[in-house]
This record gives sequence, C-alpha cells and structure tokens, in this order.
Amino acid sequence: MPDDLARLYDGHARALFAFALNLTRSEADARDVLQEVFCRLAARPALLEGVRNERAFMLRLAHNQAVDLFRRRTTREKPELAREDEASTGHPFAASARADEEGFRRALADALGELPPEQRAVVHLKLWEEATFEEIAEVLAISPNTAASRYRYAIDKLRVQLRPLYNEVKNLWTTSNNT
Amino acid sequence: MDDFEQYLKSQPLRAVPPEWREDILAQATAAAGGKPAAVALPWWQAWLWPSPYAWGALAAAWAIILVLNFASQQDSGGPASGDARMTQLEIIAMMDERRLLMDAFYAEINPPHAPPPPPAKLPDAPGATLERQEPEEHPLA
Repeated sequence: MPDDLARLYDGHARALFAFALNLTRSEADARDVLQEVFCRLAARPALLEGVRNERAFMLRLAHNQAVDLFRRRTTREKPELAREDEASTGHPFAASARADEEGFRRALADALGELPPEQRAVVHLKLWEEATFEEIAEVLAISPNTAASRYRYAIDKLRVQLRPLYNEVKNLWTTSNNT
Repeated sequence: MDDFEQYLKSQPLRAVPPEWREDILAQATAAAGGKPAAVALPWWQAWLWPSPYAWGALAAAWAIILVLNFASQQDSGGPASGDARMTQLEIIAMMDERRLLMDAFYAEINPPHAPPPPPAKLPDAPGATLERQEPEEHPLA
C-alpha cells in the first residue's frame, strides 16, 4: 500500500495541490486538502478499484474536501478574511524571473481570486488540467452545459480584467523576439 | 481556445513543496494503520450507513410518539384506573344489594297495614273518556 500511495502521490500530487490552492487560495488549506485526499485513499484503497481515470477521481476528492473546508469556514469565519491572511502564500502560480511575467501571474492570481469558486474550479480544470467539459462535469458533479457556461462567464471576466496587461506583455514579448 | 486562453494556460502552476511528500505519505499510512480498511464496519453501522441522519430522525420520531402515547394514557387514566373503575362498580353493586336486603328486612318486620290503593282508572279503560269532566255545580252555589 505505501508503494501504491507513493505512486499516486508522485503522479498526481502536483495537480491536486495546484487545484486545491486555486480553490482555497491558501497554502495551509491546500495542504489540508492534499493530506485528506491521501488519508482517505490510504484508509480505503477500495475507492480506486474500477476507477478508469485516477486523476479525475482524485480531483473530485480534492474538490469535495475543498467544498467541505469552505462550508466549515463559512460557519466559523468569513472566508474573505482568511483569503486576505493567506494572500501571500495562496498564489497558485510559479514565480518568474521576468518582472512582466511575474506581474501578469500576480494579476491573473488576483483575477482568479475574484471569481466565484465554482467558476474558478472550471477554469482551472479546463486550462491547467486540459479537461473536456464532460470530464469537468464529472469531477464537479455538474452538467457539461453548466461547466461550459461557467467557463465562458469566467473567461469573459478574466479577459476584461487582464486584457490591458495581456496586450502589454504580448507587445513586450513580440518586441524582445524581434530584437 | 484563443490566444488569450492559450497564454493563461501557459502560466506554470506552483509545485508542491518537496518536504511535504514524506510527511503526507507518513500521515496517510498512519491513518490507514489506525483505521484499517480491511476491518468491516459493524453490522449496525453498515445498516445505518446510507443515511444515518434519516434513521436517527425516524428513531427520534418513534421515541416521541411512544412518549406522547404513554403521556396520553397517564392523562386519561390508563389501564390502572380501569381496574379502579371496576372496583367502583363493584362497590355500587354491593351497596344496591345491601339496600335491597335492608328493604326486605324492614318490610318483614313492619308489614303494611293498609292494602295498597286500587290503581287509578286508566283513560284507555272501557268507559273512560278523554273529554274533560265538568265538575257538578255546588248545591250552595
């Protein structure tokens, strides 16, 4: 079992962590989600029996854990406050040495943070997990049409917020490539 | 997917802090050791598992019904006071019996001196009439 757990961790922990971090906006919460997913899998290995897509199944577990965390938090404290406290560690993107890229990633993280969690989850799965709307629907237990409409709404919001910065970064990138 | 979406997609996500790996796996293994999956759930837990709250609510509803039922029996007397009612009936019957005995006793030691008056003439007797009998005029009137 530990070997199997290690295999699962090496294969999926990065994706689960990024997904959980994007949902919770807190490194500590993302760790709790990750920990809980692996504890559940270790305690009940039969959960994965007959599962065709391990990644999708584990993402679903992570999503459920994150939702539970949200529910617990909304009964105890305001999630916005927790989000502000964790703003420095809840950045879901890797750091970049280039200032323009780093600026865009921070702006993207902020824009994602302003999306409702359900839209953020769809955007994450679509862009960074390259999942189809059918797969997203399976992970989030929603219909494919709902997944598609949430994605459209979210991308439109991100486009409005990030378009100026995106154009700027794109121009810089084009200029540096030409020179 | 347009350029903008492609650009978003190209942004690399953060990696898991490497020091977490051993810790998370160790805790997961410990959790599995603490609650082995091979151990089956107790029969009652397995039976209640699909919807324990629903079963709990049902049990609570039955408990309330039983309590209300018991309380209403207490208010209306219940089976214990049924016995009490029977005793009262017996007492009444006994008192009736004593009264009859006493009547019979007094009738024996004090027989009636005069025969009972003849029964009044009933209206439906032969010769009887329902018409009002006018009193005869007083001779002094």
